[in-house]
Amino acid sequence: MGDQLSIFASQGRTLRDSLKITARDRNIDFKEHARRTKTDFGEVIYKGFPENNISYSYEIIRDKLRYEEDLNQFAWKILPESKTIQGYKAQKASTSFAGRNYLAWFTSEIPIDDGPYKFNGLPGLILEISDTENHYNYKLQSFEKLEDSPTVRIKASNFLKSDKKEVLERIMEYKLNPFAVLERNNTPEKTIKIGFKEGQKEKLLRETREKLKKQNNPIELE
Amino acid sequence: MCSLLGYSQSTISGEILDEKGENLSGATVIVSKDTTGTILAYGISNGKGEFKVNLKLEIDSLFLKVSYIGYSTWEQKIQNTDQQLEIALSPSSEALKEVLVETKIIDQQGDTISYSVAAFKDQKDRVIADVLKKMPGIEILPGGQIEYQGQPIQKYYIEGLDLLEGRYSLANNNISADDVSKVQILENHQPVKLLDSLEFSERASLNIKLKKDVTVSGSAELGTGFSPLLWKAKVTPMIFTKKNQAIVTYQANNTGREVSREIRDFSISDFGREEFNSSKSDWLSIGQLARPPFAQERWLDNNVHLGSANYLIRLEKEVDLKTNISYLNDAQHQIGKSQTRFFTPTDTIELVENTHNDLFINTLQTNFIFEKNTDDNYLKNELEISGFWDSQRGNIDTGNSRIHQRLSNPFSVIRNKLRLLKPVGKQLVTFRSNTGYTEANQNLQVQPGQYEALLNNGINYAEMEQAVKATTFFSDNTAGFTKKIKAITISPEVGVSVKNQSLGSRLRIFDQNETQILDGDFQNNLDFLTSRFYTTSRFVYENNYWNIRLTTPLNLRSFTIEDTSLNKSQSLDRLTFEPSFYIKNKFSAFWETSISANFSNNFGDLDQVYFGFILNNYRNLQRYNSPLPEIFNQNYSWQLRFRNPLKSLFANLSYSFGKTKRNLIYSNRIGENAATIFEALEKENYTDAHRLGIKASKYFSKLNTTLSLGSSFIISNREQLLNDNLVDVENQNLAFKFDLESEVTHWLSASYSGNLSFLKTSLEAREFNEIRTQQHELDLFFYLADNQYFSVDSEYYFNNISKANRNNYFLNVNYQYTFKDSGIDLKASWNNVLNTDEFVRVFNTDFSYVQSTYRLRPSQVLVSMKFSF
Repeated sequence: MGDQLSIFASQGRTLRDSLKITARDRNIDFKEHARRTKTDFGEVIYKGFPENNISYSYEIIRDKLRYEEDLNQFAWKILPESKTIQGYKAQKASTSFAGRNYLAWFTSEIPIDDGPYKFNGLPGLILEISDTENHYNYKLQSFEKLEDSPTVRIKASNFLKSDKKEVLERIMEYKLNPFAVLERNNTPEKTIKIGFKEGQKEKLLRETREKLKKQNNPIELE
Repeated sequence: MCSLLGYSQSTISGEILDEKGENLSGATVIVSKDTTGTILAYGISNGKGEFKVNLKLEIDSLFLKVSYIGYSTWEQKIQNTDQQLEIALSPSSEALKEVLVETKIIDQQGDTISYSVAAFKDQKDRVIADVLKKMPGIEILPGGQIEYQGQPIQKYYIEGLDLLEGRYSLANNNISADDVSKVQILENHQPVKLLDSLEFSERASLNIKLKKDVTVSGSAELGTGFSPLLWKAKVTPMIFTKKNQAIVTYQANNTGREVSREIRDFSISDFGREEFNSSKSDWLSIGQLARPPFAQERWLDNNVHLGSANYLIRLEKEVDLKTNISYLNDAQHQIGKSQTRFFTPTDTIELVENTHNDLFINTLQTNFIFEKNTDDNYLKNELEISGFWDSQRGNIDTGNSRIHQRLSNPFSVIRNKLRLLKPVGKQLVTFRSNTGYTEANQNLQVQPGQYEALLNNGINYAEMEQAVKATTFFSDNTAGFTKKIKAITISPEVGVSVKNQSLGSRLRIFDQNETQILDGDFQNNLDFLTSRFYTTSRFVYENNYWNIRLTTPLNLRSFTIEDTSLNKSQSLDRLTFEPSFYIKNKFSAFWETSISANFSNNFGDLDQVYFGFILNNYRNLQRYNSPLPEIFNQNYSWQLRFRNPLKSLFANLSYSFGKTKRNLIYSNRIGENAATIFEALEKENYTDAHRLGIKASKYFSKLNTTLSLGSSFIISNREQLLNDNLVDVENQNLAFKFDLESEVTHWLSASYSGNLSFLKTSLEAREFNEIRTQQHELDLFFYLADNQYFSVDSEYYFNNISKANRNNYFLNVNYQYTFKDSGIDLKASWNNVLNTDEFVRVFNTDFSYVQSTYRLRPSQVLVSMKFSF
């Protein structure tokens, strides 16, 4: 695909997430080609970086943590049903991934083998995908041809690579207490302090913890 | 990669190329029965443009479709047999269908991000600051400064109007969150419209969108306590319309709380500019006490009233006129004691001063700003007029004498700043002008008269009076522009500045109805003219690994100093080059290092060159009967940093060296009664300082605990004249710091911080007692429920020098309850539970130890209530 950038944002969640990325990635020093999918807060998925792999990256303060997975991990079954989504003729397909079964609608009218989150490998863009219990549901929101087609090229040295377990641990720590992580990242030249009123930080942390507990339903179950 | 449906097996493989014959990866290859049939199998071309589709089908002929975004689809009927194909696609300009975009709670349009306040606000939030803190990317620092993505914001607009300039805390802490519909972040915001497409801005600004065209709102806080009777009050009404905005505040308390916090200015000044300092400077003082190094709520005995009014009117499109006026009145009371031990090469002199001071502060500050900001014109003019009518009274008891001091220390300043942008040729040149005048007409009376040996032939006398009048006129004017050549940003600038100062002083002695104005060496009639022509360039190069900055200022300074009555004059011309250089390299994922070096020249100001004695305070008679001080500094530093966010381990090692050359050395002649006569002598001398620091921190995720350790060692040497002898003074300071922060459970968090310091001073071969100090803090925070919390703060201070009060303990407790329905906060604080009445601080100067005792606020309870209207 190379000269085309696809952006997916998950519906129903706050879009605070994707805005961070659009705001920041403006001046990346590009090198390697990859497709990029944005999903959750701070989370960017690069498909095809490195070649035949998925890079899952998550930005914490100013570090981009990254782990790699196989790009071709989806065994799709094309199903006979079809319907029209936003004017495109879409075909149904199914797969299973990380402990959930998914049904997807893709269109070969947009010949991009991409989709939301890590999903890819169908002969056309995935317009909708949801797991069979409907806990996760992605819908295409917008698709537009970018005028000056920015090539997404990435440098491995812009990321800190580790294994999936360690990256997910750091992400969870950050989600539970972003303020503590922020403070740990302070340097003499650049110090960020948050001026909470007494009690406000603790309240926020408790709310976050409860929200995360309620959300204890990760997309990847295994 | 393929789906299996059938019986006989065949493989279709091949290569997909573009019109230039280069391979296309990610093209889709779809196999169906006919043009409209369902997909039987598919493939996607790999990085080399190759694809492979395996088929198990009974049918003879197939329909093959190859697509790639931006290219025409290739379609053909083929036989169901093993075959190798080479398919070339040709570009197409066919547009894809538009797809609907849905509305969001955060909206981004270009560089503007809008946050809906309703989405972030909860019951507890009352003012806009409460909501802002929760928005992603926005932080508010303890002082009230707002940051977006780690950078201070540039402007705080309300409905697009910049009412408060940098004093935005006043709006931020008082506009009710209910009145605001949206908060907009203007990323890469260039406040000067003329520069919008020319100069890229990395900073963001913030705009508060209100719900209604006309908003009337405000907040209030009331509190009381004992003992003695405590009170605090704060009320902040405000009004916003399309063309007029106003915020007014009145705040008062006697609880030791700082009220000026909300009118603090966070304006971002232009980087690297040497501006004239127009802040208040006092020539004379009464005997002061060293302020304790912790929150002033615990020691400041005050009675403060602050009123501030801010008004903006939009005169016409893009033309604003702003007025900010604030008045502060405070009466402060200080009680304490200081014990000073002066060292001379032959002797030690002890001085005890029991001090009672009353400070009266009366300040009026006004700002008038005119700003025109259109697409082809930028002009901003700022006029500042401030008056300080301060006075102080002090009583000192030294055991064998009582000294009464009365000080009147007013100060006034008028200043005008102008910034204008004008196209000159192809460049857009920025002109800046900064012109002003300050005046200090100050007076100190001391009873009984001091320095009787010097001033009154050794006969005691009743009173002495020092009067000083100092004025300064200054004007600084510059022009410059910025240009980017490849990866290097270059900013040249030229400028000229002039400063004309005058100093007049008289010392009078009074005894038995006789007044005598001392002449000769006890008066000044001084004119001091400084001019500076300068040209400077700044070069910046930045990429992911390297960060290099170089500035090259060249200054031509000239000084003319003349005292007509003492018949003394001096003049000096100096051309100096004062470069500074900084280089940083990130040499691996976890390591970076930086080096910096700079040279600078400083020249004495009026307060360091005067030929007649001035009584600065009751035991300090000072003059600088010497050439203009010339100081040359060299600084070098190196830093190595390790950051591993994956393991949450951070460490930092730094070393710096500074060398200062001075043309003058100062002498302190200490008399029997510890009265000091200070004089400067011409003698080249050097000061060296080495500093080594190390710091490391690690987060233990299983324990929810961060541990950090740090240490620093500083060694400095300087030469000092003491009673006509030249001595070498060496200071060695070793310090350790230990911090632990832990979330013990979900309802309890704890933090501990400890500091140890060892200070050793030696005067030639003589070593003095080591000063050891310790400071420990332990805070516990109990989060009882959503709307309640309880906290305990404790502190311990130790020093080894003082005989009494070596150990100081403090304890404060707080409890807050929020009424969920009304949104009213009720807070109760019990400060200084242990009723610790004094705090002792020990420090040393070049030739003395000082042990200062400060009377603290007693154990007090305060209950307060806060609400919005």
